Amino acid sequence: MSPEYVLEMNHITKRYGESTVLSEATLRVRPGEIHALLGENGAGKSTLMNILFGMPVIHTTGGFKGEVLVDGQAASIHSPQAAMTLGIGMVHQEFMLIPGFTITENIKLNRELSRPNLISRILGEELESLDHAAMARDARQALDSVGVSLPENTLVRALPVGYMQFVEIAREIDKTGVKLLVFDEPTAVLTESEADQLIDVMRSIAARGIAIIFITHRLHEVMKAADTVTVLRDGKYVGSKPISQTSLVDLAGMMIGRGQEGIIAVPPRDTALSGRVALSVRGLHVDMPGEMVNGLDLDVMEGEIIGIGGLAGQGKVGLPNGVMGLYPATGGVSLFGEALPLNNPTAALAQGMSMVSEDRRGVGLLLEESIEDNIVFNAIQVKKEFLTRAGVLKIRSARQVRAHARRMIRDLDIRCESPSQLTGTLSGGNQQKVCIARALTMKPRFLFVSEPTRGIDIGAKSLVLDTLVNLNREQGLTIVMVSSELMELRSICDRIVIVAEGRVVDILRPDSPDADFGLAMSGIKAGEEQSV
Amino acid sequence: MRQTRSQWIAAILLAVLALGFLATGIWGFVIRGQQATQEAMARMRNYAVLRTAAGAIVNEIYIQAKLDAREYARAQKYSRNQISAYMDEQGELARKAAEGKYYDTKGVDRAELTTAVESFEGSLSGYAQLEAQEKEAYAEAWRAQRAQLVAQDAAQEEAGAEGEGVLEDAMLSSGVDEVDYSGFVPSPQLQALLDSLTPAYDAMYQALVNALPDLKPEMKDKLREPIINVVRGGESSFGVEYDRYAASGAQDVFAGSEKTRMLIARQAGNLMVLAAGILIAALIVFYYQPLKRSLGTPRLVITAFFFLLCVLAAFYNINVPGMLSTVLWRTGMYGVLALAMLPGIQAGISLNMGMTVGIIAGLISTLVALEMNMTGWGAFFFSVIGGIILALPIGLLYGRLLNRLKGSEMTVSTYVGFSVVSLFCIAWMLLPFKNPKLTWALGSGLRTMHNMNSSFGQLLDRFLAFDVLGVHVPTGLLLFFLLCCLLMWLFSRSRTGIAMSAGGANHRFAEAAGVNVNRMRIIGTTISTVIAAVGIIVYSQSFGFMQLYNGPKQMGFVAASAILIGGATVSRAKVSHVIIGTFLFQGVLALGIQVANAAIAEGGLSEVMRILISNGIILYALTQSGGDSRG
Repeated sequence: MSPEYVLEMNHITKRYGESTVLSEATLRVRPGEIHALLGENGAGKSTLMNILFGMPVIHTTGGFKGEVLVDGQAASIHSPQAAMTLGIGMVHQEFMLIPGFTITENIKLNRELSRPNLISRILGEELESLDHAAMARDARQALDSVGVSLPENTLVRALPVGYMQFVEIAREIDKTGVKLLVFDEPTAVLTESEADQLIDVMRSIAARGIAIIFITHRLHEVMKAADTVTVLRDGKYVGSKPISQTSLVDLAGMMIGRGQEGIIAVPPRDTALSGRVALSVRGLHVDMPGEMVNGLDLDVMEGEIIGIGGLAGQGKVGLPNGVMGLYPATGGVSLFGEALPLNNPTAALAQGMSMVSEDRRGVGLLLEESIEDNIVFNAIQVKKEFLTRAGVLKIRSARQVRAHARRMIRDLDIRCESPSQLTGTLSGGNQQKVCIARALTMKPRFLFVSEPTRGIDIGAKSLVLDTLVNLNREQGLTIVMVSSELMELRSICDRIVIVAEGRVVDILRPDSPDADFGLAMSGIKAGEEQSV
Repeated sequence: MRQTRSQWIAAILLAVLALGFLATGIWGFVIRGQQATQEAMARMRNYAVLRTAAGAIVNEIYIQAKLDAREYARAQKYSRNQISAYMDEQGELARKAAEGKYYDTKGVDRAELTTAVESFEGSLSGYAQLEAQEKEAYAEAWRAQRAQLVAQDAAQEEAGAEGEGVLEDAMLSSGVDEVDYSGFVPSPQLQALLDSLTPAYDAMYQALVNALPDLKPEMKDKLREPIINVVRGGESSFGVEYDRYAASGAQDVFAGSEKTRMLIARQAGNLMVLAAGILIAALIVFYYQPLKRSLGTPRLVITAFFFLLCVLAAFYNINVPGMLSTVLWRTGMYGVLALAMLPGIQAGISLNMGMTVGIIAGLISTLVALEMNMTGWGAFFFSVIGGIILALPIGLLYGRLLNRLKGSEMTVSTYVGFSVVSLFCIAWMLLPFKNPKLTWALGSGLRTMHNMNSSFGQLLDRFLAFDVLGVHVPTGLLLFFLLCCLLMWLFSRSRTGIAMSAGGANHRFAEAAGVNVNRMRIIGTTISTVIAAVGIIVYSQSFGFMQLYNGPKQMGFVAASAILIGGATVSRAKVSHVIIGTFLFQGVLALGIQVANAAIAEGGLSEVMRILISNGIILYALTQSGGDSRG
């Protein structure tokens, strides 16, 4: 009697230190079904899969609570090898292939077929000869079943990216005893036609009795390919439904959740917005690896706080990085009516734009320098401030720098021992405040803040958001806030732009229906879901 | 930081030990002042004189015994080997018997002898003082001449890899070598004084004869000089006096506890130094964690080693003021070269081992000055400015090369350094320098070593130089070094300097602020090259010799290790690291070589020690990069 579910993960709870990443999550997959696992960034999908695969990161951080059953039997999976032995395979998002090897060699890596020879009979199995013919035959078979007609001795590095995905799949199905395959965001790097081909391949694999867990955030793919869908949100289990009993809008709503109260109380404006355009972007393309922008158009109004939301890797972070010249960009940008040259950080800074980068430690700070030196750096370089004469030279004025730093520390409530403390020793929240201080030292008329509360604890989060709101209300500073946390954006922004596939999908108000947000993140503008 | 239990125990034990030594040392000093000690010293002196005289007798007996033995052996028709063996044997037997007979201390307390020796000592004082002065002058001249000779030797040697080291060793060890006084001729004044001693000496000799009846009158003249050396009037410290008498074996006059007492008195100073050293060791053990955190393991180890060497130097009676003078001199000499590493590290190209290209620029401009027979300050400034002008375009080109090789700068710069040296080994032969002082005697091409003393050697060193407590301070040299450090410090606080430092620390951060990091790297490399050019000029004039061919090869390593020992890492450095590091490195090197020379009597060891110590420090510093890089 075969069990109803090939895989059951019940009441899975996982904590990393103080934060709970998964809470009572449940996943039940039937044999031969295509089961979609849906959720935003940070919903807990990767963590759940890490637990399924026995990845070391789970077990070195305190394990997890809950049970995992494979074919009805309790399974204790403590390493990827154990998962493989149980018949669980994974097709990763980042390809685990060796570019210099052929397709066959990659498929058969560590499971090569061999024939005994003279030496191996004496000295042992490891010295057997490789059976290239048999391996080529197996590879051919695997490739055929995923619909790839390329010769099996092609070098992987010569393949287009989409085909690498198929080689990964071929490797997994070549393994004997596979019961369950997990596809982690498989269509992220595929073209339309490749994505369709992939879905066909998934169906044919499922038809052979192998269950598939299909992790994605693309709603239309879920509707097209899956039999069942499980939705996670903020580490919690929202629900499971057969596809027949749900719809795009329904799923979008489940993914985003009920419109909750804002994180902070936001005072209303004293005066209405002027209606002038602060930043005008036309046809922006930004080559930022992982966050490409593919033709973005946007108008930001003076004095507003506008949010840029969307899923990771969809291009929202590319917008500020491109405009500020950190990554190569083309397109037309103008600031308060003046054209802004792209690929030129000095010009952007000099014209009054400042940015707080999402990469706090990598781009945002000099970790081995003091707080005060970090705060005044841009002002010294771009505006030549904080310098004093020493003979014929102009050198850093310790007095001015110290005075300004003290002011900033007081105004932003940066918790530190002294202005000369190294920023590398501060907490995440205080580091973020130093970055904000540096941006504000430039007295900007336009501020980009990219992922301002990432990696910061709850208490510091509201402080940072408060600071931004006060800057806007008191000084009329135009703020563009890029964030993965929709709740934040809906708290303090006047408008929220959702970016997917490197383009603007929709511009929503904070109180728009949740489903609209979910659809937009999936690339579908609310109201146009029928045409998908 | 809590100390572990074993730390407490070790520290307390060491502290107790240190206190013990300190107490003993203090007691030793107290003993020195005591009446009983004065009397004991007088007895020692008497005995030293007696021993000297007795020694002459014993020697005579020894020789006579050997002669007699030879006669006997020949008569017995022994073989050659047997004869010489028998001679030695009999000689030794006779010597031992004689020593037993004459080396006894009975005659020591004779009042007659005491009075005679005392009065002789009194009359000696004037003579001894003048002799000391003249011998000192002789020694200085002797050392200088020796240095010259060594330099000439080295200059004539092939420009091999050892070429540049030989001269260094000579310079370092010439302070330690024993002066050969065989060529010393007393001045007429001195001779007159010597002659005036005759009556006093005769009187004393008579007393000696009374004590040692077997003393023959012929010995009188032969014994005059040794006895004068032993008695030696005039000021002398306790330790020096004791050693002088002990050289004749006079400490045997004491027995048992008195011997120990006198020994403690003699070693009082050393005991206190040892106590200080152990106390420092105790402190290091106790405060190990915070010291390790703030200094970093390499600096901690090197500093501890430095203190150890100081203690050993005191033990071996190495001339401390002389040593300090050497260290100060060498710090100023190498300082600017070490400073050349700083802008490279700050700009992000890690250790600029290719500063050799800058060194070559400095050498060329100095050669031009020498070619034109320039001297004095004019020559110095010409060389410096010329070197800077030459180094600028070279540095720019070199900087552009390094920009194409991001990530491999240290490897590439090392090879650039070596290649340039080899290239210029060819160039030095071919460049059109004509001045006969610069070129080989029988042909064309430049010599390996060039004596700077004819143009601007020691120019900076002598400027405003002064002596304090026996330490010679080369003021001009140190001032120039500090001036260069100040300029570098000012630059690092300028807008460009700040941008350069940020670009080296985090290039993405700098780029986000509009800094052109590639341009900053070129600026850093160029400044490094220019400083290297100035540095070699300072080095050459201070050292007294300019070294071409393979001379510049090791400079990069010396500079790198100096700055690393000062606490810098390959990605972060400050001016203070340069100053502290050069001092520590040169201090350890100079002290180490002198201590090694004093401790190990083997000759020719100084080069081995120099290579061991300096390369050892370099290796050690390169493998470690811990410590508070904020300095």
